[in-house]
Amino acid sequence: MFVSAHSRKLKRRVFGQKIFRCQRNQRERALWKQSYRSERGCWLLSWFLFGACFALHLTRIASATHSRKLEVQNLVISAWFPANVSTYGGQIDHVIDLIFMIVAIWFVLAQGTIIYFAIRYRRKPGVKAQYVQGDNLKQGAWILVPALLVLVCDLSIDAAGGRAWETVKGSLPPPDMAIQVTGKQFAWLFTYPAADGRFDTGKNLTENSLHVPVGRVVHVVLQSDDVIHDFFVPELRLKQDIVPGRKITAWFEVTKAGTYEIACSQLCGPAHFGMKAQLVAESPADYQAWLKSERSAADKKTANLTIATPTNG
Amino acid sequence: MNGAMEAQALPQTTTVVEEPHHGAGFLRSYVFSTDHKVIGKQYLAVGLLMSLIGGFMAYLIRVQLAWPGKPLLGWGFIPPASYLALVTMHGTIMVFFVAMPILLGAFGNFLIPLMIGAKDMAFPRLNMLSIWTLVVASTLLLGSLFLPDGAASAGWTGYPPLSAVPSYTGNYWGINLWLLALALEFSSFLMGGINFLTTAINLRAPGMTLWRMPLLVWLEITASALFLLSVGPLVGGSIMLLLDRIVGTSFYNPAHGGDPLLWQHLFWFFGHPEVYVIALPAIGIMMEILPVFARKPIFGYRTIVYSTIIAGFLSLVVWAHHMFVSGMDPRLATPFSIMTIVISIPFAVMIFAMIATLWRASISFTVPMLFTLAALSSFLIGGVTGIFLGSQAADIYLHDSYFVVAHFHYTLFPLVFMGGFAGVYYWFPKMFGRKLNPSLGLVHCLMTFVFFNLTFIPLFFAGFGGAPRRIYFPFGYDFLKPLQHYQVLATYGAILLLIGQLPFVLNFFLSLWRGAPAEANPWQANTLEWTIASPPHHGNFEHTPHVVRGPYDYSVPGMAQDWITQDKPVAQTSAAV
Repeated sequence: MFVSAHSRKLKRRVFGQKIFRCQRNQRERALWKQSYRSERGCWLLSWFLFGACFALHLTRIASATHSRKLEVQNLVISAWFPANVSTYGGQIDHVIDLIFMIVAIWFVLAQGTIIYFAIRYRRKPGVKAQYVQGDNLKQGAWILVPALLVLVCDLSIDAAGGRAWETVKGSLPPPDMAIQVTGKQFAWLFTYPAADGRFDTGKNLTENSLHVPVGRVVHVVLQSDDVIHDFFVPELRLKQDIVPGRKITAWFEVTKAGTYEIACSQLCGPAHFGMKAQLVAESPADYQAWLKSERSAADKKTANLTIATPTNG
Repeated sequence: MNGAMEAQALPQTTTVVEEPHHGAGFLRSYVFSTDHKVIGKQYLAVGLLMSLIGGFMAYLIRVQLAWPGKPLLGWGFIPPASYLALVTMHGTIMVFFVAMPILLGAFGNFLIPLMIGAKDMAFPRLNMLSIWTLVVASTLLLGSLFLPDGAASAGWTGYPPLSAVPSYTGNYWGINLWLLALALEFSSFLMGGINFLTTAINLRAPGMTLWRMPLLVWLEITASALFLLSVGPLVGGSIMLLLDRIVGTSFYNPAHGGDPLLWQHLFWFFGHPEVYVIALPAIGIMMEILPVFARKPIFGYRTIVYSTIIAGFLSLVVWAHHMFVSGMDPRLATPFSIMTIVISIPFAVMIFAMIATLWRASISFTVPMLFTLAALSSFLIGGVTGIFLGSQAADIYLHDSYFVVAHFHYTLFPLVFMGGFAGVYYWFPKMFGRKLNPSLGLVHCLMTFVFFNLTFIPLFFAGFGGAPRRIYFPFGYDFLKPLQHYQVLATYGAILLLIGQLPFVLNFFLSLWRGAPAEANPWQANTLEWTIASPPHHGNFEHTPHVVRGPYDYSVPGMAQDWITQDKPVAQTSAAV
């Protein structure tokens, strides 16, 4: 009943001795009877885990389709993260929390099993190890079924991650405003469009800090003058490499006014550690006021320059 | 007349074949030897020596991160450029000059011929060339540390344009030598890999079918095949980078039509399989040791072999998960993420198989077994944290942070060092004919396991806080300040971890000269290397063994003893039934 024709064939291949096989069959039958209870437990546990993963997966899909801008509380691992201030940061935290929950269960199960087996099956006088090769499907199921469960978990992680990726990097929402960001060894430059919204009229405003209005979709057009840099704002959950020779557009929408740090997160040379700037998120009114004052200051400066050097004009 | 000459020549040739090294001088026997066992030990020596240097660099890096700007004990003040050079060299040394020489070079060379019942490698002279190429490569790399403009400081990944234009980093010959050393290292392991594959395919003893090969041999040759398949693009890539630097071509220079991302694709097309090139031999060592001390067969031998091959193939198509935020087309992220996360399945199968091997076993906790269990437990964390980084969305936040640093140290340290130590403690009697002291070994194992976790668990939390890696001055950003205590904790862990290696150094040299002499089969193991004297003499086997069974027949029912070597027929013990 327990030893199929297939596994008999396998055994014959391995041992090639008739007398040995008969003995093994009897012995194994008795042992399988003994272990049937624990085996049933394993299968039940597997199906329970399978069901749990599937249910978790479904709830994730349901909650994520309800609202694209998902605001969830810090559940598990994201409690250690800096507070999120972007519209999509919650989705990324969500994915990380989901992965944490799944891998924590797997880790505890696997590590627990190792410790349990190590204690339970330590060498004792007079007790021999059981000859189990795990070379037939019946026994192999003990590792293949959990591996299938891993696949289910993988797919649920991929599904959740795929949605978050699509929001953050995949399809960019139409911008309320665009700012050019230039990285160079070892500084940031932020170029704001002229009053008519264009970059090519020569009336741009270049600053050392990034001011953005809260609640607006901002496109940052990332460029580099020399090496690869990386635009990273921990609170936004946004990280994007800046490759020389390319214009890479990233987007974010800040939800909370405040001052945050922009770090370079890709090794860019000896003073890489000092390449930083500030992201100032303020209310749209404050932002407009700031932009106006900076523009008039810049106009004055250029006016002074043209007066001082009339021969160049 | 021709016939007479042949008759005269024949006896001479046969004596040369029978006694390949007897009567050879010191230089031919121990330095320029073609004996695979001597070459294996030479690889081990190179790997262990380089690991001392790499470990000392880790100490310098960690102290700078914990107490920045303070002069370091045994070194002095570290300027930013030197810090980056240390980081670059630590990575390069540990991956290419420690992990590969120990896991592939030492264990592969020493064990493959012994385990398959061969007299030597298929190409002994090529083997000698490979170790001496590695020595030249190591010398070049270490020499670059003493250059006036500093060693390579563009990170071990060497992304251009930073690495392509000397003025960006400030080192000219540093990166050139670094590239040359890498190219030589690759050619060394290409020669080694060809040797491994040819030996394992052609020189197996009669009866040693592919399905009777010990798993270590399977995993070593899968790793070699992976290396052969993946290294070509990077060798080409390195030459292009060298040309960019020296001749002024613009393969990676966007101003003249080059593309910086090309290097990243070439590097990671090699770089990801490289992880498996290191991981598989280490897992192979663990899989050799587990059955011996569990006294039962490895669970699912064929399943493991198939999973290994599947994992190998998958590893060739996942490289872009290192590049999710690099600026490549965002539509590529999800397919690569799926492939990456799917790789967890073959690895899960291997890990579950190792765990299932412990079921109803009779486990004796010797030092190799403790190291194996420690490696398995720690590697679990390395494996599951890989899922975070394989997920495209989670990687947006965690990419290039200390989470990555902690993750790859959790995969590589358990495999390279814990797995490697397990192998050294297990095969030391066979290599040197003497036993290592188990008490010192126990102390070493406990200290390594505890302090390794103390070092790298805090770094996960630094990564959760957003700390980017390769930051010289940890107070540079305000958001790093609350994370500083993790760095300090990790530094204490790292210093203790290094101190924890002293028992091993002591044990190694004491046992080498004063250890208890080892018998042929001290662990009562089944594989062929234990059927001959410790250490084996030149030519390994007096009579070519005739293999009649698989490598893991422990505790076969109905037999008096719980082990039986691969070349012993079963009939003599089970005749009573």
